[in-house]
Amino acid sequence: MNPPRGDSPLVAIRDLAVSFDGQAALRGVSFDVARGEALGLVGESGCGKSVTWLAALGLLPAKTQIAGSVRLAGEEMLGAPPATLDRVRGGRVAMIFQDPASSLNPVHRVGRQIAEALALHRGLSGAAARAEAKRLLDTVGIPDAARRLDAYPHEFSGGQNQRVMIAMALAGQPDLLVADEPTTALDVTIQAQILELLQGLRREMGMALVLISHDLGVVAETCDRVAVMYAGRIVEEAPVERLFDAPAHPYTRGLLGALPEIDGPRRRLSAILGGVPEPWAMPPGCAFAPRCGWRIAPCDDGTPPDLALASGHRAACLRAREAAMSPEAVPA
Amino acid sequence: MTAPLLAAEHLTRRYTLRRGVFGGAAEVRAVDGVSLAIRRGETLGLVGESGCGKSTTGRLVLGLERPDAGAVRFDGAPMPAPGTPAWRKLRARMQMVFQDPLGALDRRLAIGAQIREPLEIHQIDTARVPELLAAVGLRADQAARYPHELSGGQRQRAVIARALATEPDLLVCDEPISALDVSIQAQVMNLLAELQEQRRLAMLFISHDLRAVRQLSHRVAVMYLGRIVEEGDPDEVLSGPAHPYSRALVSAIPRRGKPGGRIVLEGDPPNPADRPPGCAFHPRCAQAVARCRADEPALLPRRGDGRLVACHVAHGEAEKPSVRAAA
Repeated sequence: MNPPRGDSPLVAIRDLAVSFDGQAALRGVSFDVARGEALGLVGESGCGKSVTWLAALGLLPAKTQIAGSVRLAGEEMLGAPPATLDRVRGGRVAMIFQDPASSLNPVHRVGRQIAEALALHRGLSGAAARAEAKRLLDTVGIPDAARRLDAYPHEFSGGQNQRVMIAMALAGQPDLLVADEPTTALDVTIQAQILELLQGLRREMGMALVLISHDLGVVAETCDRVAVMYAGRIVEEAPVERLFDAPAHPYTRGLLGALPEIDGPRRRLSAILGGVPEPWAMPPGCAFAPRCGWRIAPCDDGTPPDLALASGHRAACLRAREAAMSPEAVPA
Repeated sequence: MTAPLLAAEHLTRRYTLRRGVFGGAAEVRAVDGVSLAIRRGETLGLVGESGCGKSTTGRLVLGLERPDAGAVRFDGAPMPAPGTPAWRKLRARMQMVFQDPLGALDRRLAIGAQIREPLEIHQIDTARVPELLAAVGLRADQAARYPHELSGGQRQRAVIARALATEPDLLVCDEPISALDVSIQAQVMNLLAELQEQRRLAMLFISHDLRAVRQLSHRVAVMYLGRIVEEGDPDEVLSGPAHPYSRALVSAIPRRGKPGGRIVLEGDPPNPADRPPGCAFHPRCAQAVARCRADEPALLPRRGDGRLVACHVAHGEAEKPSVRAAA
């Protein structure tokens, strides 16, 4: 682990494990989020990148088994009383999701929905809440905000609904915004608008951003640091430049090789063979071993430990040091 | 130069949309005068954002929908009317791959049976199922699997195997990879590229993903609000887009490094039912001049390099008096 320099991290997650009906979705996840930083959480469907935050914020069903520790500014969140969680959720930590239309209430005007968040987290009501709601819509770039407060979600486009969701998330003046695939449902040009907005807000408000995404391009341009998840674990973590220049884990290298270039010569994509293991059929050792071109016998002996490779760069692979040295692509 | 396998001329598809319960009907031109040609062994990439008419174009070229105007020619002959025996016969030579493999497969049938179905319908040797499975990288024993027992990538392979069963000459792929994970997308893209080369398929590859389009296409056409606004070599279009909309689209591709000089388009994609007059892109275009608001630009070769582009400014004709160019 590489705790951020200076003051203590905003969020410290340690050995977080989550299982549904005895089947592990998270198998020991540890990382920090520093104040004001942008962390990208990358991985394919089912790798646990969303579950991590749902568990951290107490949003999973009661019968889910959760172990480990999630500390927000030193305060333990796992098993915290509902009153604490209610204060944190939407207050100190806000979350937005992929599909804004289903996160908004279709039968209420958006102004009222933003005002509700303002009443809950900042005790504002009446004209003060309305004025603040208008200011928030202005902040997120909704034109003609005063009038649009009285519009319903269906009167907004997909991109505008995501802006409304961001406005609601900002209502509690959060220290951390967790954005779960915030642009996946949007068109490319609208995605560019939303990413621009998120970056601007983070700079202005000094808020930390966790961007959950399957899209390495989105993470590359938005985040300072990236954690790559595979089958319920973080397999590699590094500053963004380092991850793209010297990826160490064969899975990370596979993901990078699977992304078509936008310029230069066209090459055959290095597709990772096979698929993600099912939770009930986890390989005994490294979960990636069955798909890995660098597999050696000890890979099957147990879960590989994190190897520290450089400042802030770690990878859970027995051959990470070799891999980080060799510039050519990992045979996948 | 060989004649194109598929040639579509001025395809237009209109829908009528009722506005509210008592509202009048509005006409939506989903596809508005699209012409395209694909030769054997060639992939045309069709890019654009939701609602630009790229999927409708795909359905029109297959004859799944009838155009209100314009015509499709396949292998030199006009497309027969949908539902006729001649059309059904022709449909064996043109197949479609959709975005969602689970939706495209029958959940109650093993995939082997689903791949056998087109062989039976078109009276082709049903012993070809294992060969088809092998062609898309599935094992023969996976024929007995049901769609839910396969991963997303394997399902899309099964869909592609079924599409290949009738040995088609043309494959229309509508967002075939966008529902898949990144590493699986690469598998399917590699497979499509291999199959296309081995079988000299003509392919229409519809996608919103410019990276994928570049990877697979020999030519790319950019659509905006029912029209092709630019067409050319993928590398040329990506490195020097001529139409302001293509420029915005290319600069919106998420990539490494902080985006410097990104063109962030103002506003939302326009409503096809409320098409702006003149160039449909002008309300969002930073280069728009008076002529763009009045006069619809035609898709014509640009002086110099012959790039097909529909933009008065790109043609250097923005200042000229309004002369409607022949489409």
